[in-house]
Amino acid sequence: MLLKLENAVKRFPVKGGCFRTKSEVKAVSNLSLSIAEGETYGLVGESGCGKSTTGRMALRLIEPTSGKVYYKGEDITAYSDEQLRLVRKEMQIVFQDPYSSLNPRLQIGKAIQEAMNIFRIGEAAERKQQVYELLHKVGLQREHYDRYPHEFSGGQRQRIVLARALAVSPRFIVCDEPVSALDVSIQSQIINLLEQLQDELQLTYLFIAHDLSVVRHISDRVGVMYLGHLVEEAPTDELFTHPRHPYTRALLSAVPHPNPKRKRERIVLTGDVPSPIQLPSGCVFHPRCPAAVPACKEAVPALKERLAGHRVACHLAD
Amino acid sequence: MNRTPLLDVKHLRTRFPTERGEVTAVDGVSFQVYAGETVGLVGESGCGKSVTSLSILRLFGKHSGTRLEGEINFEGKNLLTMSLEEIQKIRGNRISMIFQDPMSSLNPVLTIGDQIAESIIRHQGASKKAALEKTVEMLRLVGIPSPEQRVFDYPHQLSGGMRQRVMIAMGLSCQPKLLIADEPTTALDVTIQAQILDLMLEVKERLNMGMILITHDLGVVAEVCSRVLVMYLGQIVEEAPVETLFEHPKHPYTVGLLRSIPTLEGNRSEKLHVIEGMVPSLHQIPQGCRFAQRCPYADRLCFDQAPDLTEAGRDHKVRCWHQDKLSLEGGMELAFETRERRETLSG
Repeated sequence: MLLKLENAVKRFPVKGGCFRTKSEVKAVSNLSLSIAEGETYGLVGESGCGKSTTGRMALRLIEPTSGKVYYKGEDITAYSDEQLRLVRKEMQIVFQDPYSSLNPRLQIGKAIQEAMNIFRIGEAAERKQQVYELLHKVGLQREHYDRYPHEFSGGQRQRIVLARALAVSPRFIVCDEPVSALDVSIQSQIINLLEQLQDELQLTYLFIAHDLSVVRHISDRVGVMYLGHLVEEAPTDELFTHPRHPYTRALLSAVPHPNPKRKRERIVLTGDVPSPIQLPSGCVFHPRCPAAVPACKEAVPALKERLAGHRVACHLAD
Repeated sequence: MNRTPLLDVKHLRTRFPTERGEVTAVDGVSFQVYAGETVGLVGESGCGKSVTSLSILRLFGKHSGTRLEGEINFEGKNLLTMSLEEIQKIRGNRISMIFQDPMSSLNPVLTIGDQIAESIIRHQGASKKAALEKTVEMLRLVGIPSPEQRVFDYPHQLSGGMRQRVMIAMGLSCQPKLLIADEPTTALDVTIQAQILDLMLEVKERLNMGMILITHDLGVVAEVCSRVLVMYLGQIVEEAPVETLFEHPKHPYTVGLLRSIPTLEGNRSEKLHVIEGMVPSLHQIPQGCRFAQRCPYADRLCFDQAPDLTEAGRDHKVRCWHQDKLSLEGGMELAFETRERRETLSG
């Protein structure tokens, strides 16, 4: 396993009210997952479910409140800053918004070169040549080197951000909603590029997105999060054909299909996602679950392996 | 159809001044909306779909220098020639609009009840008390729990889905004949999106409204709309009933869009279809067909002359020179043959 999260927990303190009452947002609760080398692990869930926090914890961009993160078998939560700096060379992240992830005053070639300078990759004189190669790799031209971010469209900027992430030859990239800000025709260009780069460079992806169709297309395995909990995890085809958790089922049924003849059999969930400050007792999904039984209020269901590689956290999945 | 349309847009053209000269964001758009139907307006960012909807209610600043041409007939009157007072009587009353981002469309310092009641008082001359009662009723209609208490809430106290429900309640408070919804569910999660779409459809049926749904999500279009207009660079490139559009799309742009979205049923090992290049800037509108540069089927004619939107079948209109030659199946081979030619032409 290239990357492993073990019982990772993240709680953010909230100070609020006039008496400074302290409470906590329980962003991620006891989450364990592992990602194999060369694999694309898709993490899906609705806003606020903790998927981005999980992605950031995997890189220690956010310190876990408790729990461990292993990269190549080593516990990076115990690393010193200097050790962490070195391992970050192998771990990169691409964010949703390519507009705010680029410095508007820095020529894009220099932005890509910056990481190489920091890690002293190659001879200084050769770096420009390497940037040209990276630009070519992501489908841009060498003339683009000394242009500024505002001169590019959203899709092109996402290509620049990718080139920058690749500058340090990483092995693991967290893609946090990399295509959700893009138009459909551009979205498919970037998805194809991500797949092509993975083949060429043997990259491992943690692909975070809320768009289930995109996640299904790109991922080998998929984990579904709800209110900070991983509720189901399975190989992609298995998850999409045999979802076992009621939340996954509802989520899949809610995706609009681009086929007007298809009959809708929607499981419409009632109500809103509860506040992550006061998690419901027992199974966090029970207040909205169409199948909930009294036991669901009492005990938190464990994420248990039901079939090979298919883990489900539900009392009713047995 | 013999019925008279609720809304009849004819040759709408919307122009803005910009630093680099005037742009024509909407260029000769014509379409109709009938009572009880949902028309989808789809396209990518910058195609003019939102500007079209803003043009209907003339929601542009007085000093923005926006120029509107054409006709927008609603209930027999041209909205473009009306005085400001007249159109204000229509906005939020006979025609309502719902925007994408409910947080920035609500006033943060007024309770949601006050904001909904405002249009009831203004358009229906109701007393404050009667308006409040009506507001509670509207909030109940859109599925907000315990509406008697919620009317006194401020927008920040509600979740995104609840705020969008408030926006819908506000839009429907005067029982409009036409509802324009601009990306109403884009900011919402899928499970909440499902709730909101169901709600909008249900209310549309009940009030026999016409609805224009602006979206970039073809899945939403397939589920909700009865007729679809596809826009590209300020023009309608294809218009068809929803089944026809998804089964027999005729414009290469529509075909490309439909093929490039991953679905929950598609073959995962296949590469996604890609529309090459990107949308040109409104400052550099190509002469000839606007899609030619990106079109795998384009030939000399396409680069030289702009095609018109022409009949391609029953209720089906397409803006393409080669609509008869194109079919989904044979498309790729043709694309391969013409690619080289295209490069010499555009270069």
